[in-house]
Amino acid sequence: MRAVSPLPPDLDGPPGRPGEARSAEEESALVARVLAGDHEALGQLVAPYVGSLRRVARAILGDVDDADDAAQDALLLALVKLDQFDRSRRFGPWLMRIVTNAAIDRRRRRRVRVAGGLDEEVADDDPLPDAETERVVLGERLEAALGQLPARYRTALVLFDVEGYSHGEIAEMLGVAPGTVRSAVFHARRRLRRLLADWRVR
Amino acid sequence: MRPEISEFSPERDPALGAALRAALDRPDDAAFLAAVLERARLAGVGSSRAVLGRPPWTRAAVAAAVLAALVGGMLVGTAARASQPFDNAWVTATTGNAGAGALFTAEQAPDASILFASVAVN
Repeated sequence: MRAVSPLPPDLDGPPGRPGEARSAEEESALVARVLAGDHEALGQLVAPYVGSLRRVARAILGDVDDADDAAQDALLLALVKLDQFDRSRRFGPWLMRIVTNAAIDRRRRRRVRVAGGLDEEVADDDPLPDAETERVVLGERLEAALGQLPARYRTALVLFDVEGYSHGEIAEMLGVAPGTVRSAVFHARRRLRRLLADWRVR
Repeated sequence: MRPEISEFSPERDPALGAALRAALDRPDDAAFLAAVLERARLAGVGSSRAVLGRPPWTRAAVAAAVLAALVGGMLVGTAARASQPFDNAWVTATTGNAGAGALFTAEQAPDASILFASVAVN
């Protein structure tokens, strides 16, 4: 058995759609190396997607630890089923579909704990000390607002606006029509707008 | 900083995307990936254990090899069983004694009383 390789340096890649830094051919070659038993290629193949998978699982499940467990289980499942991956297609959407479905399935089976109490925390009028604090509070506020959206809305929103997948790709991942995804993104944005209406630029 | 939520736009909303990304990001992707790779290693992903999970042509090749081994084993076994009557016939023909054929081709040595009885009769 080969030792686990050092982690690839591009683990925290630039913002944007993950895995785009390499071509489909390079990705296909990496998959072939993994199937041939190259454990080092395994890390290189999935590293660009790790952050994205964790974010989407968190958006669906709410609870951070639950999300990481789901993402880890789903990633492992994807690696075990790697021989079923059609190498003429991009790896990212295939991997994201497995993780998304696993997180949705996990959410159905478990009662999700949504972070609460943030409204009270940010509702006071105390001046914010600096931009960093504002960023942190906005993040908490956004996450809380996201938790109030139906799962299908926030999944579509995060896959579209955060991860950069197209309506068609998201539709394929979720097993729905592209129009349904467009509608979900629209409704998610509208609800977020309402939930964050009292947020002021300071 | 405030995310501008343009609900009607069919395009991506970069400000909202960046704000959500910052809100959802988790630290330490490296540790997460290391844990996944370790679990994958223990599960045999990317090792000989995964051979049966390979593309269809590989599974077909493994299945063909197993089938060939089974057929080969059956043929050898059949040939071994078929050789006994021939040996028996050959010994009987050369010695002119049917008992001798059975005696020489038996898998186990005969009981001494049977051997002496046979000698006494002849």
